[in-house]
Amino acid sequence: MKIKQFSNKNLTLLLVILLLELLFLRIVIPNFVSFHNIISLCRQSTITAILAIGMGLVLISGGIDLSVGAIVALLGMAAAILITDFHLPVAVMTLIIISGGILTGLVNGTICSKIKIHPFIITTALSVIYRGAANILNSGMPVYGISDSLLSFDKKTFIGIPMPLLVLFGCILAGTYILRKTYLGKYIYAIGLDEKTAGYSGINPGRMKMLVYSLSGMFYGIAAILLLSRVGSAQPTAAKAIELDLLAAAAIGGIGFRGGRGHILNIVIGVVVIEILGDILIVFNVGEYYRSIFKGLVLLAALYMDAAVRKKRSKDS
Amino acid sequence: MKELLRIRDLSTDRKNMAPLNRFRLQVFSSEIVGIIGLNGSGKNTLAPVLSGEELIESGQIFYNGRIIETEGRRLSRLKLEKQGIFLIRPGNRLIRNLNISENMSISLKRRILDLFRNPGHREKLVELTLKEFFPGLNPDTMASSLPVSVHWMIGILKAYIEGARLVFLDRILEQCSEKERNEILSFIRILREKGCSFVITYNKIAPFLSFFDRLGVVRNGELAGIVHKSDYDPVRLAALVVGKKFADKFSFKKEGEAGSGSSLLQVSGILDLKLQSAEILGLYDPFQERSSELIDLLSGDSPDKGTQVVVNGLAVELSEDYNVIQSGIGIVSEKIFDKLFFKDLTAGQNLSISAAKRTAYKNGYIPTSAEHYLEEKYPVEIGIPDEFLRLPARLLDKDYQFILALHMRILSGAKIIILENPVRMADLLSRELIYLSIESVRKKGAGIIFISTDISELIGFCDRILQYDRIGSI
Repeated sequence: MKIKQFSNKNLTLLLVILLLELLFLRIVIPNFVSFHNIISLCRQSTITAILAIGMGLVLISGGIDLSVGAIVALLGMAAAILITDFHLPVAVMTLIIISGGILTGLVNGTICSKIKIHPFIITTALSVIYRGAANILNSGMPVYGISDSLLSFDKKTFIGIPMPLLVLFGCILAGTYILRKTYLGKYIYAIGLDEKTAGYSGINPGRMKMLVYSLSGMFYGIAAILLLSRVGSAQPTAAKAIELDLLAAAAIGGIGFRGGRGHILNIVIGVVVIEILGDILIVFNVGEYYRSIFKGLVLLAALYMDAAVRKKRSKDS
Repeated sequence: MKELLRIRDLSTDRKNMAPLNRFRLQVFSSEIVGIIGLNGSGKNTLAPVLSGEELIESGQIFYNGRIIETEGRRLSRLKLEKQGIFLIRPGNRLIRNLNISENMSISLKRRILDLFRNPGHREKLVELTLKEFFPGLNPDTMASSLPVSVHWMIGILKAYIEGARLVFLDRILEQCSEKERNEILSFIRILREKGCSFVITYNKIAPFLSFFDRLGVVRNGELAGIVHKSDYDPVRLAALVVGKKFADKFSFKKEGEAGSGSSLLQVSGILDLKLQSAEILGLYDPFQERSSELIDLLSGDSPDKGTQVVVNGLAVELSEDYNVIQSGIGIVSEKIFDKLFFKDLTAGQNLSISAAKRTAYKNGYIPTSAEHYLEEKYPVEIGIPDEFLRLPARLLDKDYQFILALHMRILSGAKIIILENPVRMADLLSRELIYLSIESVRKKGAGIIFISTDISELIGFCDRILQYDRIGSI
């Protein structure tokens, strides 16, 4: 089956799940499903969705990045310090932070391609380092006093659509363009499908991994700035355990963990599905700890489904 | 001589292997017949037919004057064995943890009472037979410790005492050294004197042609001709094996053309070779050691610091970052065949990945039209049937996979193509496509190294042939 066809089928399924969730909320809380609430819901999912795009690229290339949360915390702390201590304009800070994101991604990619150990282990180790660095930046304390120009960005709208949501649309378009329309995208799928075969087809898997992780780092940088703009302060503990949400969204979005397949739009909708699921649990007063158990179960179920679909497809063919 | 076996117009389907197409063969009593043919010609399909793995579409088989029911069905190996036709091939080895005597006794009698007997019980007949043929051999020697030649001789002897009158030996000589091969052949001669007939298929049959009473040449699944021992002529044999059709159709072996182009590839170290542009250089390596080393080296699997590789006048550094295609070399080898294309993608998607960088405009953008052409039209142009376009490449026939792998290398910009046994897996429908592909690459100025274990194939197609043995070039 073609990648495109698979992504379309998966997308339809995701949209059906999304509609069912909204329908359920509509029945339980009749006022919940309004245009305002839906926009707010999407806005709430923006940061996770942008991170999921970055993570999605890595997963499609056959890797995994468990240092996302730590990178976001580190970049967020750095961004806050650049604004509060160095009084840099937001545009300059944005450029520096996105470059910083690319740099951390490059470090991840370089280590993953040079050391032949599963990226799961490598990025876990790196996450400890990044989280430590985030703590060192302000002695483990949060950074407050973010300039109003950055804080106001989160509240700004353009023709009624919040700016963060527009940034997300831009990221979706960029991610989709890269994956669907460039040779880089083809190479990402190729190394995800089979690294050795990609090597024999003239693709340098090591260099591609470095590129993919750098690209994902760029998305982490954008997400870190948006998070700072929303929260109004930088926390060294920010985005802790966000990887679980991202992995669940990726699994629901049909990216799977063996690489070589998936689509950016699907993972973004996967994020929205997870967020609404979280909202439903809140509606039913389910405690935070139970919610995390539930998320884990959703991830396991999605993984099981993914494995079952793969098995069925290989049997059918 | 009495006719023992007659195969008349036998055809098989082309699902799994190179098919037989109205194949004919006659074997007489006490005769040794060799079966030769290019890789993929169908000679090795005989064994699966006799073992019941391959479905017979049409044709008849007569044994001892009696017809064996064949049409639209699979043969029963057990029934054939009861009648005296035995098949020995690499798959049916002796049981390693039983000794010689046990191995020979285990299937000697098939009676219900034997189920309760010790399978290792030494039969009188076995003892006597072993004493007659291998007086120096200890019947208690474990099969696992036997030399290859003895292993196969015991296998043949086992068939003989079970009543074999016709033994098919399918490629068992391939794993043997020359000495071991001669031992097995001498043993076969002894059994021939005792009235047993043999049909032997083997890739490198030409070097010991004189051993056979007659030699059947298989081409495109048919019996292209029979050569008698007394009529052996290497040129005629090569023409029979390759088929004049190909030799005339393409411009292989043009006088004075080879060697006139610029030097594309130069390798010095493990083997010394020089490949010119627009040249097909044959490497005949019966032991497959040197060619394996060359493929390992050029594919980057085992960088050999002592070897120098020069591509287009530039020295290639065989370091960790070395990438075979980026150096302009495309390898299509059986050794790395499963890594030559993405199994879960369609042929078009595979081709599209290979051509991605070359079709991309600025910023890496690939025009939709180019993508559409590569995914929908190009595969058909190179001969992959329309109905296979939506299938993952792993479900394609081997020969189409080969064509796909070859064209992926071409699209990646490889100027030097190394083909190892290119038509071994191909059937008669697509072999021509493979040769056309090779010829089209050559016309574009690429150099081709054609590695084969079959000298006849190389004589038919190559401009120059380098022959290697275990020590070096001859």
